[in-house]
Order: sequence, then C-alpha cells, then structure tokens
Amino acid sequence: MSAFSLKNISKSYGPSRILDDITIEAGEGEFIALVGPSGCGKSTLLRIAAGLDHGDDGSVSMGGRDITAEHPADRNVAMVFQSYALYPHLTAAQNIAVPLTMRNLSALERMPFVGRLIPGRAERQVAIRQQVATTAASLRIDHLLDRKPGHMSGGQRQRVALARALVRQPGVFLMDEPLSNLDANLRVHTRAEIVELHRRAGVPTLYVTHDQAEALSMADRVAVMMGGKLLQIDEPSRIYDDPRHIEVAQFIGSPRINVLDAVTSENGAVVLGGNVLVEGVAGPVGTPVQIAIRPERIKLRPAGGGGIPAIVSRLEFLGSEVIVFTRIDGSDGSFTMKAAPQDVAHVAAGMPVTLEVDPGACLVFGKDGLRVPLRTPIKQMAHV
Amino acid sequence: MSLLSLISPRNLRLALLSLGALVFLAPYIWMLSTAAKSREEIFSSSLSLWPHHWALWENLGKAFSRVPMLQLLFNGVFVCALIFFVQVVIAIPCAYAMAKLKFRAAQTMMTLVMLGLLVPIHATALPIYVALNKTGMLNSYFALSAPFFISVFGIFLFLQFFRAMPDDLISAARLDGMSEAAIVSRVIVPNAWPAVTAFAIFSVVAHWNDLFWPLIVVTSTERATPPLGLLFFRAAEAGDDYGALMAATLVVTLPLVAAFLAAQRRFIEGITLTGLKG
Ligand SMILES: Nc1ncnc2c1ncn2[C@@H]1O[C@H](COP(=O)(O)OP(=O)(O)OP(=O)(O)O)[C@@H](O)[C@H]1O
Ligand SMILES: [Mg+2]
Repeated sequence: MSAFSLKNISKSYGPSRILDDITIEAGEGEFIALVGPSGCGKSTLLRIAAGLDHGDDGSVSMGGRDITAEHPADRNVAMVFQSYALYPHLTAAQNIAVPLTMRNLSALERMPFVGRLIPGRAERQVAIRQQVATTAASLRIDHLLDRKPGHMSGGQRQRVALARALVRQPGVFLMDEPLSNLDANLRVHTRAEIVELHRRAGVPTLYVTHDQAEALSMADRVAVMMGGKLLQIDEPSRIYDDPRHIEVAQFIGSPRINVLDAVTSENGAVVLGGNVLVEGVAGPVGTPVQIAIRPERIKLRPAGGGGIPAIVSRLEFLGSEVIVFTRIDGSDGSFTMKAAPQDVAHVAAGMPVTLEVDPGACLVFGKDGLRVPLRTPIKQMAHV
Repeated sequence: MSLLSLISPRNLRLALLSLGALVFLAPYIWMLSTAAKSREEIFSSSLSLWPHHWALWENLGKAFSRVPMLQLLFNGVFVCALIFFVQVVIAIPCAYAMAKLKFRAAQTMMTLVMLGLLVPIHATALPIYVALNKTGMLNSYFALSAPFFISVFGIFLFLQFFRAMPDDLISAARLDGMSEAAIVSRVIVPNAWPAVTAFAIFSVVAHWNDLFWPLIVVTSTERATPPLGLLFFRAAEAGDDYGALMAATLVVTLPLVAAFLAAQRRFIEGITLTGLKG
C-alpha cells in the first residue's frame, strides 16, 4: 500500500488530451520529482492530486483511502505554488498561521469579537503561535514574521510559502516549481534545504520542475512526462543510464545526448565511419533505428587512430569541463562530448580528430521511440 | 525675452488645463459667491464676484431655519449608506462566482449583466413605481434605495478586478481549508479595497446627487434626499431668495467636497483603476 497514489489519471480539455492514463505511486516518505517540458501537464496533474481540479478518469488515494471525490480542504494536502500565492494583506506570521487557524479553531472562534469569549480559544491560539514560531525558526525566517509579502524578496516569500505548507502535518506535499523564480545560487542552496526538510518531515512529496538537474539531484524517483504521457518513472540513475524512451534520453542530461539516425546491417550491427557502434539489434537488416550516446561517453583521440574521424567545430569552456562540438567526416551527423580541460588543451576549432565511443555506451531506440533490446551485449568497439 | 521663455509646451499645457478647470468651476464659484450675498445685492445691476456686504451667515441661518436641513442630510447619508452597503454585499459574492468559479450558467449571467448595463433606470421607473405604490411603500427609505440594491455596474467592476486576482491565491485558500464564503470574506474582500473605493465613489456620488428617483417616489419632506429637499425649498419657501437657496446648496454639496478633499489620493486611484471618468 502506497502512502499517496494517482491511478490511471486522464484529462482532456475539449479535443486535446492533457493527461493520458498516468499512474504514480509514492511510498512512505518518498520524494518524487515530476519533470517535463512546459505544457506537458505537470501542473494539471498536481492540481488533480490536490483536488483543485478533477480528472475525467482515474482515482487519487492517500494512505489507502480513496479521496478522489474529496474537497481540497478535507484532503490534508499542502501545496507550494510557483507564484507562492501568499495572502498579500497578511503578515508572514499570519500567512503561516492560516492553515492552523482554519483547522484548529471553529468558525465561531474565528469571528473577530465574539470569538474571544469562547473558552479554550486563547490556549489554542497560543499553541498556533508556538507552532508558527517553530516552523519559522526551522526555515530561519523569524525576523520576517511581521512583514507583509509585498515587502519581501522573492527568496523570502518562497520561504514563507514553504513554512505555510510545512506548519501542519499534511498527508502529502505538492510543490509546483517552487524554485523557478529564484536566482541560480539561491536555487541550488534551497534545493538542498528542501530535501533536508522533506527528510525530517517524512511526508511523501510530489515535486514538479522543468529542470532535469533539479529532478535528478533531489528525488528518490523521477517521473518524466511528455505531452500528457508518463514516459518513465525510475530512480535518477536508471533514468539517466537506462532511459526507456528516446525523449527521456533527450530531455535528461546536459549537454543533450547525441542522437544519430541509422539503419541496421548484417547481424543487427550499426556501423558509423567504418566502426561498429553496436551489435545485436533485434529485427531484420535495414531496420531504421536511432542511436543515442551520452556526451561523456565519447573520447577525443588524435586524428588517424582507430575510431570515427571527425572535425572539431566549436569548444565551450565551462571551468571544470569543456564541451566539444564535432562534425563527423563524410556525414551530416554531429557529436557533442564532454572532456576535462587538460585533455583538450591542444584542441582547437577546425582540427581533425578521432572519436572513440565507450563500449556499451550506445542506446538503441526504434522508430517508435521505444528502447530496442540488444541480443548480445557489446564488449569492445571493433574496427572493420 | 524672459516673457518668451515662459512659453514652453509645459506651461502651455498648464494654461490650457487651468482654463478648463476654471470653466468647470465657474458655476460652483458663482454659487459660493451668491450664497454670501444679500438679496438686494443679488438683484442689483452690478455684477461682482466678491460680495460688498457679507451675508453668508444670514443666508445659512435662513436655509437651516426654513428647511429641515439636518433631516435632509441624514436622509441623504442613510440612503446612500444603505444602497452602497447592500450593493457591495450582493455584488462582491456575485462577481467572485462569475470570475473564479466554473458553473454552467456563468455565460448566461455574463450576458445578463451586459444587458443590465444597457438598461437605464428611466426605462424601469414606471413599473417599479407602480409596484411600490401598490404595496404602499412610497415615501420610505426602502422605496428610495431598493431599486439600486443590485448594481450591475458594481458586479461588472468587481468582476474585472477579481479576474486579475491570481487563481493560485484562491487555490491556496481552498487548500488551507477555507470555504467559498470564507474565501470571499478573508481573501477577496481584504484585497479588493481599491475596487471597493472606486465603486463607493460612483455609487455615493450618483445617489447623493440623484434627483430623478427621489422625485418619483417621495413627496414628503421627511424622506426627501438633499437635492429633492432643495427643490421643495425653491418651489415653496425661497421664492426669489437665491442667497438662501445657494447657501442650502452649499450645505448639500459640502459633504462630497469635504470627502473628496479628505481622500483625494484614493479617489484618483479609484478612478484611474476603473479606467472610467465621469
Ligand atoms: N483551463 C484550461 N483549458 C484548456 N487548456 C488548458 C487549461 N489548463 C491547462 N490547459 C492546457 O493543458 C496543458 C498542460 O498545462 P499545465 O499547466 O499542466 O502544464 P505544465 O506542465 O505545468 O507547464 P509549465 O511547465 O509551463 O507550468 C497545456 O497545454 C495547457 O494549454
Ligand atoms: Mg506548471
């Protein structure tokens, strides 16, 4: 039994299918990152999980209880919005206290003057204030508590929004690109902090982002969505090394994975520049396939060696590494690779080189985009 | 040379605007002047803006003694407040529902609001009058205010304002456990002050100055609003005592002028918010 699950969720707006049969099950305390390009339906899925929207099909359940029909207020979910959605007329402290006030005080107790007369309200209010203070302290925003959102920076607002979600014990955390409005430095810093907060709270989390690096670095499992479909959900390393779909391979990883169109020859082999890249691809001779190779799995060698002859077209220096762009000789294909600066110190644009692909680095995808299994694992790149 | 240098585009604009302001203000200034003149001076052949003989207190005294001025002012304040209060209480939830909730009749309601904007009170005056007459409710505060309780203009104005409010804010409120009523009272209203102020200006100015409707449903001085009271005063008592009449007018217009001066900034914010001028 999973702590929080979305089962077979589908949704259409008119003729366009925004979500297509999506199933995600989060275990106890699991952090799942939902990643995909803009417009693929991530926010819609999150809103369905929160009960703010309803799918045409499928069910949502929490701790084994079906909550598909429940009102958002009854679901006990906490959500952090991309725009933070803080109440502009309330101070940070009041903002954080809202979910507690709405839950712990009755309608009568919340009334401006009458409420004060009800016995027990004062104690509950002290308890709320205590909780707000504790949460604020854990996010180090104690000094902002009396400020209104209009007088805070983006990063400070983001923390208040996090505090408002953390202050109660929700059944699930939903976060919709909470870091996308922060600058790069703060983003990396806050990433680590969210992971830490999540670990302490131990609540299952669905975290939406369009930044694949964020997804890989934070999540226990990454769910890749494209055009309303869930293409793969797996651990970050599996998503990176063993993508099930060409679009997953292309979306994850920076710089982008190299993709070549090719056809199989004798023995299910794919040959490039006189080199067998891969062997044992299923299907008859002449099957069109796509070969994908990660940039860091290609090595640059001096021209003339055994390998794929190519010409360097451009270099990008990134500090700890250099991205080398090359054109393959005698074809319109191109390869991007990642190298250590000292290894390419002598390389300049226009230089002929030889490329050597790591054995087993080739991922083969069929025309439908799905991964094609290999009959025989490759050991060594062979020259023919 | 120095005179020529005064002719800059900026000064020209200022001069033009000042001239315009003077044209619009002239009747009011003349009213002030007349209110301070004695009867003889008003009818003397020489025109002068500044009274020779200061008779403002005298005229004010006459206005207050011959007309139940305090009663008129109270009626005006009460009717305007009642209308404004009920309008807001109805228009805000209505506009919220139309702006942020999805329901089947939304489109139809939008059409109805648009139609409502096109129908002036003059068109419906007669049937409403007949209904009030049949139920014996003429000459009452209710008759003065009820036809204005539902303000399509108010609904429209709030609708535009609420549409600009972020959906996420309302989603967050729902997740925090608020009911729709709580969202309206705790999130929408506290953030709608600019719109409420703008609407207050239109509503209060329109109904404080309204003569058409009070003239139809009120015949007694007890329920008369200030403009209607002035009309009674001119017809019955003042005769040709324009000094007293203008003094009474001054008293009637004073609350709005004072309110404007006190809240000038907010007034202008409100009017620029709606993008309307009137
Ligand atoms: N109310 C609506 N009516 C029609 N189409 C909608 C509606 N809401 C969303 N969509 C469509 O659904 C698709 C998915 O939207 P969604 O907001 O879930 O994307 P997203 O993955 O969150 O994108 P982003 O990364 O830009 O936030 C989009 O193509 C959008 O145009
Ligand atoms: Mg989104």
